[in-house]
Amino acid sequence: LTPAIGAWNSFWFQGGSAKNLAVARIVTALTTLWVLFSRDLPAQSDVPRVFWGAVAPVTRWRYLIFPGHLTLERIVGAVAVAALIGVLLGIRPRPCAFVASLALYHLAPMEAIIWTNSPYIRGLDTPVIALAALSISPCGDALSLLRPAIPSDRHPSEYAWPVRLIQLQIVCIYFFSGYSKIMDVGWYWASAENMRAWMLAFNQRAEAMPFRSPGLWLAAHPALCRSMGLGTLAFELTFPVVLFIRRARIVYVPAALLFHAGIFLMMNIAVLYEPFFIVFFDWFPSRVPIPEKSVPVECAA
Amino acid sequence: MAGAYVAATVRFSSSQSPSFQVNREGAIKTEIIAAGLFVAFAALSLVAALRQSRAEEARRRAVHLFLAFTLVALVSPGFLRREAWPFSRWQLFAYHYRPPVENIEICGVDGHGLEWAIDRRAWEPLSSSELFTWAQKNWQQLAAKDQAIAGKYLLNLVNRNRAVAASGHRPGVFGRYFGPLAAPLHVVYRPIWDNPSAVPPAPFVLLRIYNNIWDVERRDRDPKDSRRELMYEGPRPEGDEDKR
Repeated sequence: LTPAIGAWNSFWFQGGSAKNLAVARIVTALTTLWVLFSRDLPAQSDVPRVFWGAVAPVTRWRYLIFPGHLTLERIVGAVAVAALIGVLLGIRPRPCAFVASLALYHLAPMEAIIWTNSPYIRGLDTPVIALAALSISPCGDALSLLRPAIPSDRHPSEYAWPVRLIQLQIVCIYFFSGYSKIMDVGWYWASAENMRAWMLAFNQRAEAMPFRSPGLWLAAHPALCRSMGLGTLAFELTFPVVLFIRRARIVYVPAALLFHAGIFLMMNIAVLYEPFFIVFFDWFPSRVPIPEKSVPVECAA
Repeated sequence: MAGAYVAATVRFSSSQSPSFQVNREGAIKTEIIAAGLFVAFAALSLVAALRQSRAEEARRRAVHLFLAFTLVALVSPGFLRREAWPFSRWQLFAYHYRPPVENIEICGVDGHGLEWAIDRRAWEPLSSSELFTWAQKNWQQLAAKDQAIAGKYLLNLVNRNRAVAASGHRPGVFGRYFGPLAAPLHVVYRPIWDNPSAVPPAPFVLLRIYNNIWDVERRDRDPKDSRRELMYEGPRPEGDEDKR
């Protein structure tokens, strides 16, 4: 078991700095506040009950969402915002992060619950998990308005694992996105025919969209469609290398940003987890040197 | 149904997706497991958080347990192809195109019988993509009186926002703090009521819900080659409702 334990410790606890963790804390809070203030999730509670007819009782219990309680939902929304401000400024960030995580688990499904029980890619999936991790970690030891009550003499590895967990979450988005394409559709997914159909379907709609011609142009070039399909699968399925080879992040992170810019241009599809890419870089050096490739280390955490 | 979010208004076939085939009992079981997963996750994070003030060994054990559980929770839905939000299987665009494409469109009709496109922001605080997908999946199963209730609510909503846009203000609520820098919805539409002259001059008296159906290749050859099925026209005035 020793090599496995060494690999486990190496994966989660290598490097780490209080300031890098604080950056992850601030980015998580800012991104979540941005999404919350760009929606009105509590208001969904106030739509007529007829819209809720397709929501199974078990789903309502799962998220503790019961329509017709606007005031209560407004209070939950306000609690989430107050807690996120605490996380952002470093005022009791750990309890605030825990409260925010729970409140978001309840609020996030509101956006789509009238037709689906899985509100993924709507901007709040990463925060729910990241905030829970932050609630356990010493995320308020740096860049905080209030200094921690106990002076910190922690081992840097204690600051490493929450950042690693957020990285893992982001990696899961890409890897499983590729994996589900292969498992649900097969290699045909990357065919010129299927890619072209996606491009046409998204750009033939009558409604006004920011972009239309780039997707139609791409659809007219089967070789490019095929390359795009294969390139997407290759990119998504190999994305996990960023967890193990630090230098790969220099290629993959900008490539991911380009990838999403391309999807936006071609299909008018936006995602909201790009700000979390910041956690793939060490903005402040760790006190413990980090090797280029992960190797097992003794860990104090 | 879980994991079937396909960019909201364009529906593709996913016959191979197991999430479409789960029966009701299976769906309930999946919901309970997903809820249990999150409860366990939250409980472990709470335990680990409370142990942070204890001795290093207890602290360390709690963090390792939390990490082991979270790792399994993050990757299991992906490999098992089951949704357990916030532990998602990330089934993004994992669909195979099979004609036809179906796309919901909702138009407003004014007192002169003129039909107008509606700015997507006019549906806020509902997210238009979610609303349209809901309509696609549920509208035709609604009883006439429920359609009337939903129709009236939506008509009032768009008329309220039409009036706001006509007065030169931004319709909807999502941009109330950040304006054009607000977090976009997953599917982005261009605002069409961007100045008062572009806004329909009179309130709508009716909504029409259409299901647009087309084959992408045929429509590529002829942009007019699509079918537009009227799913709903209403809400009717109270008297008309009774007559029906």
